[in-house]
Amino acid sequence: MSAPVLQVRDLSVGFHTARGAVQALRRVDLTVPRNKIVGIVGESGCGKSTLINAVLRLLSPNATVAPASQVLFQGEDVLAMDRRRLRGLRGQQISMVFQDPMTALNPVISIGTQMIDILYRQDETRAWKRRRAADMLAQVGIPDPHRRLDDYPHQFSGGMRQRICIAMALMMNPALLIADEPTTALDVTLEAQIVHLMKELRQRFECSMLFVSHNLGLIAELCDEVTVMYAGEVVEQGGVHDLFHRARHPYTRMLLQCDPARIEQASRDLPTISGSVPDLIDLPAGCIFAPRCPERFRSCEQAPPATYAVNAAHSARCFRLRDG
Amino acid sequence: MAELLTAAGVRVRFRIAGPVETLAKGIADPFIDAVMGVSFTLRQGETFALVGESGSGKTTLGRALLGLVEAQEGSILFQGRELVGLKDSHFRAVRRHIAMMFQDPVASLSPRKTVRHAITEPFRIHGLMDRHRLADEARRLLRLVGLHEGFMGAYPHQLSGGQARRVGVARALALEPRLIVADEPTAGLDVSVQGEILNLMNRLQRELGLSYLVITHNLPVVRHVSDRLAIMYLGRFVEVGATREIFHRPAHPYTLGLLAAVPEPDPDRRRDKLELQGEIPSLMSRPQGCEFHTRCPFARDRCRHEPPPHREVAPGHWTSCHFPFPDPAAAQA
Repeated sequence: MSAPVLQVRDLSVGFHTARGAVQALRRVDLTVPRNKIVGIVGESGCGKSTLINAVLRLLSPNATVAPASQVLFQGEDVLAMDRRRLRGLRGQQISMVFQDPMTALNPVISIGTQMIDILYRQDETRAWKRRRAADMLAQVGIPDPHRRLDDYPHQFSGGMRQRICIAMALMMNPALLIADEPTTALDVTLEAQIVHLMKELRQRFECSMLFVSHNLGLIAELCDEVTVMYAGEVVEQGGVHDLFHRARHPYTRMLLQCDPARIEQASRDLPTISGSVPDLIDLPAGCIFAPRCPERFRSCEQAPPATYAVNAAHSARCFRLRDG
Repeated sequence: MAELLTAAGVRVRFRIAGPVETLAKGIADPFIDAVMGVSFTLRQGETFALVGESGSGKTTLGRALLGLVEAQEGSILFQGRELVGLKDSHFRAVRRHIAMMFQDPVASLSPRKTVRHAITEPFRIHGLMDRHRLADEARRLLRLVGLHEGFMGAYPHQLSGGQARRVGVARALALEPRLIVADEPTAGLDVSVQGEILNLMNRLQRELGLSYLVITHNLPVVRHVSDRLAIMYLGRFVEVGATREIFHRPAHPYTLGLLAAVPEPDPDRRRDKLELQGEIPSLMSRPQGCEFHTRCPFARDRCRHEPPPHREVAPGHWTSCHFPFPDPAAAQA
């Protein structure tokens, strides 16, 4: 087996604020193997965006990354790269699809120019680059691509715009594609189309993907492996089947129970997770989920649990696993 | 159940080009029909859902009930009173009884006004100015939606998504309405919080006898909250009926497509087939015949030429399709 595309090891990120240090990410480990789609699920404030920004070194200036942290992209430490090397990384070897396709595209520049601009470093003629751009648009299912290169973003529908963003992300044949809630702004029928497209492209481009979503249905549909995050920590990771059928962390299980799509019988009394996410400035002494956990016992409130393995690919940060 | 609201043939048109532009560019019809002749009844204590993709006209229809956009044709009877053609000054009295929960709760609250201000504003609009009574009402409303009194002085940016949503509910409840139009009540909320808001709305419905018109594209949520629902496409109802009936026996291919598009949260049940291709056509160029035929996987010749009738396929279950399910021929096509 070849080396993983991305390895995040022991990543901790804090933000300085007027109130104190927000510990946004704590000891996160994450691996994206080659040609796999790894999903990240979690609710608002779980650290999904901070994780992505750390991988791309796009953290705001008030952020500090703990010294032990490592972000290895194809074996090279992103955290140690100089600016020149970073420019070569972003958009070329790692590219990104954002949530809102309208704000990700420049409204006053034609689609064709925006796509060709990505290839600025390639020593080819403009005509060649235009052909390549049209070819990419065709790959993502935009009809009549040569003519549409001269159109502006507002002339495309929402679904088409997201297809264009995907085409742009794939222009440089990246080794890793990061998709941050790519279908949240779309209707359910368009969402299904985009997910279908991503599945097709994945086979055609042999690209590894980090797929961030709060939609459990999409994660189940698309991903090979899943990482569940809560309040800045990875609470559970594993293969998609293990996660959805044999979840071990109480948070994962409760999250799955809350999804109305998983509740077979129509109900007027839907399950919820009571309580709220802890303050990341003043963390609880024990397990991060303990204050809301229905299964907590004494150890949970004394010290944070380590990560315990269920099998080679499945692990969870919960004392219940240690004690069997 | 008594009828609270009866809509018949409601049509909402928007002008898309001014008179000069119409002449200069030779536009045949400067109007688009956002809502094209829909009829439904809403009973007391009932939740009725409008479901459709963006551009289907569901929000416009909801707004027409409150007079926020004007319906040009048809009739909307609310507690026996005709709302179509009602003057704005008279609408104010109606809005005591029909309240709106807007889509984005944080954006629908003024960033410079406190929660207290937001939830007492309806009283001030309707002439109640007494400071002590306003404070009492604010406390009562916060209690009703399960928010601590300490939120009274909070500003919108200090609220979480779920809390902002509760403030939206409180504001809608202020004048003790009979009907609440809830536009995407759970959009943008985490699943764990989504349940809380829906449970709250449900509890208030039981306690206060409210009716809801829920506007949403979220089918998994609709299944749990609504008694009846209408599927909208290009401003028309293509299917109407009891929620259970529609989820178990969808008659219209569009409904079928929408249901199939919802991803199952189960990796063993992945889909490899797409039910609905393409996107919703522009209101400026409505397809001929059945307006859904351009995306319908079962479309036949007749669909391309002849608009389908809106007919009852089972008691209380209506659809606009020439070949509604379960039609064996359509299923094979």
